Amino acid sequence: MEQQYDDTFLARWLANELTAEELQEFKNSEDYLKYAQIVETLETVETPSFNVDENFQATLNKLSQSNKEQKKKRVLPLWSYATAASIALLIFVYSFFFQVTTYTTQLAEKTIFELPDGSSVNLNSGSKITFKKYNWNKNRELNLEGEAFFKVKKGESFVVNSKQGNVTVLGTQFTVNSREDLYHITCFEGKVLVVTTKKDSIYLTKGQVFRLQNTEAQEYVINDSTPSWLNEETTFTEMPIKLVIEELERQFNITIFGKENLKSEHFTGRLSHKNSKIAIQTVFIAMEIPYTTDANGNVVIKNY
Amino acid sequence: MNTPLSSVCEERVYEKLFREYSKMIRNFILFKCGNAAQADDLTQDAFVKLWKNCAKVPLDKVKSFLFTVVKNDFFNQVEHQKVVLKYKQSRKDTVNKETPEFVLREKEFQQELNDAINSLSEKQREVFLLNRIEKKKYKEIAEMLEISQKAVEKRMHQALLHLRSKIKNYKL
Repeated sequence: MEQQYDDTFLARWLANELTAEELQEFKNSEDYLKYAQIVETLETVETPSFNVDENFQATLNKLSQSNKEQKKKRVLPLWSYATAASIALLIFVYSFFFQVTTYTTQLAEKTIFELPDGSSVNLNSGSKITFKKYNWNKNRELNLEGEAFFKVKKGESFVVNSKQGNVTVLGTQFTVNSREDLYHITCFEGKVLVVTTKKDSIYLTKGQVFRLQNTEAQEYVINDSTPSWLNEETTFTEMPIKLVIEELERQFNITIFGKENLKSEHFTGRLSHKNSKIAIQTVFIAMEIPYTTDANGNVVIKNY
Repeated sequence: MNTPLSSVCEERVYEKLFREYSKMIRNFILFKCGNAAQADDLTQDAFVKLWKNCAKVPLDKVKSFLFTVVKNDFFNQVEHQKVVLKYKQSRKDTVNKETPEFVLREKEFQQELNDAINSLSEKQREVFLLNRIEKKKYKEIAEMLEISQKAVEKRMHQALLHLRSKIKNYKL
């Protein structure tokens, strides 16, 4: 009986691959009903149910279990280490390439610091410098709000950007003072190029000063070898009285009331940073401005 | 070099693979070992191995990796248990046949069939149950077991012959 089938006959029957003739012949055989009964009964078989979520959870548990047993006691799955590592790398790259270093001085505070190439910066009161450490030697560029004195080591061009323009040097000593209404560059050594935002450009050599007050540009010469404020003094040359008063406020962290009453005058002279009383007297008595001081050292200008 | 778009090491991908393959792997091994708890266990172990080797297994090799692992693990387990099939209520519950006698006879037949299936060789049994219960096509089974489709068909044929010869008490 079995010999009449080839060795895949029943498989083809199950897959409905028999020809009509073969099928008919098979159905007439005495074994057909037995096979049909087996196949039919198997149709009612159920496999035990399988809960994917539960088994996934169990798998994760086994994973963390076996990781705990491993030499390094991994508490977290591998991918979390990879994530942490890549975040750390991102932060590193970010801080390395993009992070901006900032130095700030409060009122009545001065600071000195070195740039990555060894150039030094003296930062006067109420000022701020920002720069990027990354690739500093090739790209010496910083932003300044306020006043600073730079001793620049020789190297690539060194650029100080501020609101009113930028100063480019190769290796020299100079100050930049960039305040609200004032842009004041003093060159103490070497040669600097000042380019204002209005595209005016001017070269300064030793002792030369460039001053832009509002829109009025001025040039003059001084004999000092370092900025006077490094020696706890400030030198003013034909400086509008309003800007002198503002400098007093910055140096001594005081408020001077009644600035609006000031007449349009200019002040020339040196102010010591050591004693606010003397400095105030120096300005106000010389300019014949009547004033009183209160308990906190603030100044009130009277009408005159 | 072509870098794969996603790797098994990504948790997202891993979970997707689990949802796609776990049930198939588990039923495959269930027909070998006959014990659901053991099959679940073996399936979980296979996926644990997959995760540990995630960097070495390309996405298109995951399925065969899982089959290989689960097969090897199964052979390593000493306890081979017999398949116990659970039958649903017979679908042929027409009024005529729904007599106590019929029900009893059917139960007897199911028991006989079960014994017959357990007496199949393991190779025949896994092929036969994958086709009859999991409804896998011969071609799919051939791919799973890494044998030829012809070999699958031969095993099917032999399995049926064997079953028919084992069962004595047919209902009709």
